[in-house]
Amino acid sequence: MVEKKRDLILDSIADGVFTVDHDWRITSFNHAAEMITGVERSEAIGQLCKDVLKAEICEKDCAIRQTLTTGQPVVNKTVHIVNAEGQRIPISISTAVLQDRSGNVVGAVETFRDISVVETLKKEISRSYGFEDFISKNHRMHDLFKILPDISQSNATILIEGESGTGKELLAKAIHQLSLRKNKRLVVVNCGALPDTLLESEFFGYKAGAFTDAKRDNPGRFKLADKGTIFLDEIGDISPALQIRLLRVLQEGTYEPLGSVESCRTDVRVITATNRHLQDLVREGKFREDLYYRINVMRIELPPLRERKEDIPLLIEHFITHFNLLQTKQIQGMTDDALACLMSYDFPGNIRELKNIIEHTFILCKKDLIERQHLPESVRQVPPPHSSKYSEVMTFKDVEAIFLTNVLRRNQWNRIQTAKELGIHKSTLFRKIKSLGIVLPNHKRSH
Amino acid sequence: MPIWENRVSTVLDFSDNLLIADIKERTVVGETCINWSLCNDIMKISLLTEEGVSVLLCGAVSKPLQIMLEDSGIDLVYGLRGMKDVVLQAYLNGTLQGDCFRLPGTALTVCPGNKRKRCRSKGLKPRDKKDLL
Repeated sequence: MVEKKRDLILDSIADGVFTVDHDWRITSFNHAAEMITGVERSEAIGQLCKDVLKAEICEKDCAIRQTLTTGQPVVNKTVHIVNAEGQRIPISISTAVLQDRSGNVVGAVETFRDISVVETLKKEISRSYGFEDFISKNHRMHDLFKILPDISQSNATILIEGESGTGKELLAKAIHQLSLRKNKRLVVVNCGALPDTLLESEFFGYKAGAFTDAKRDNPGRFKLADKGTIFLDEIGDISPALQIRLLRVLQEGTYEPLGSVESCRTDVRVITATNRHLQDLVREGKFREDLYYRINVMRIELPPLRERKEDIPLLIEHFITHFNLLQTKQIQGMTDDALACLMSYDFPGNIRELKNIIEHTFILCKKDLIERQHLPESVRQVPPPHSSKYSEVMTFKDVEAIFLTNVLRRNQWNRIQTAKELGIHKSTLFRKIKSLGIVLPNHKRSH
Repeated sequence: MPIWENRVSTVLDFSDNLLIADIKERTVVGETCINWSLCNDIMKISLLTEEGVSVLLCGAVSKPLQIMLEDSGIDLVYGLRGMKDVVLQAYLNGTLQGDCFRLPGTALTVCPGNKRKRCRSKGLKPRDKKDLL
């Protein structure tokens, strides 16, 4: 009876609550705890709390152990758990000792709160996304992920090339976070957003009195990024004059703020990005060759979304979760019909465009599933690529066919080259082309 | 196998130590322990592939890490708990199915790394390669 009453009270609390005995075995577990962890009460009772909560601190810095040892409560400590669905969730935990009527310590109580919404909002406001925000099943992206730690920990300048919306800034942030400079600043400058004269003072700063409105010293972005990283986006847009100054910084590590006669030394790691083909600009004489080689010590190319279509379902799921959190909605997913539409769309604006499309659907969708009519008209009008059945049902085979066609197209329909890129034997590729009914240019249909 | 105090570490993502075992004819012929507490997800996968690991036995694992592991061709057996030696022996004997090895709230799942067909539940057969346990 007492236990029933206790459970009733605990279940009325919005925060997750559980209690443990001296052996860290769970003695009570409320409804909110079930919802956050995905573990049912009946399964949780009697288990070690670490096996149920699955938090990052359980095996290192257990909050309950700390409380039981010191007698002091832990208040609002932010940690991550992995729930039953495999999602990493940020939670805020608090612990306290549990005493019986005589004041004897009989265990501890832990309360915890899902703070995913708060964390997502924080990220949205500060735009501080990191490596964990990269989502991909694409083998080219995985090849990149493999070398990323080594690239990050070197001090080499990096050139990131990729179409608009492919995640160049996100990659730069990930590189900074994985580097030894992660505790220092990452300063982002969009070179395409500012006129040349302003850009120069933004880069290198100025002294008071250097020009009419310069009332006080401005350190400039290179100074702010000292010992850290500077990310120069749209580097292809800077003027020849600024290219020379930037070259000097890269070569000698020195620059002069506007109005100063003294040189400043800088220790900064430079990451640049462009959505243009820098080599073409060099050929056209619009970008200095020596600067190109300076910034191109390590070159990373981010593939456009149309070349990694296998990631679309994964990204859709990610954005649905993201907007569900931000807009407190509970959209479960997308109909096959709507997914087929998106799979056949080319996404000129890449991942950013997909994110905007999902945001658009959230305004119109009042049901559990996003439907075709919730998509923007431009996406809805894309004709199905293969058969009339295509728009009705999207099978794994369809996705595979789209993916394979993309890789073949990228390799100018050269099957040997395609097999090599995919890391499969050429006969496996031939068999797949045949079974998926892919028609190669200048070839008869394979079956 | 990610380990903590001679047990399977509860969450692969947050684990600090990794036990690598060489298996030949269902017998452990060598073991190495590596501290990988400073590794992020990518570094962990790089380390596993560099070590030639073919099977990973672990507790809970987050979806992103699970997907990346499968895509790197590593067979994954997750949702496990228990003493490392007992779990290892059960794996070698093909008797991991018991509830005593299952983490609360997690189904014991076997996911072959890609290049193989699909996930199947339970039914485990150790392979004579360098297996990670």
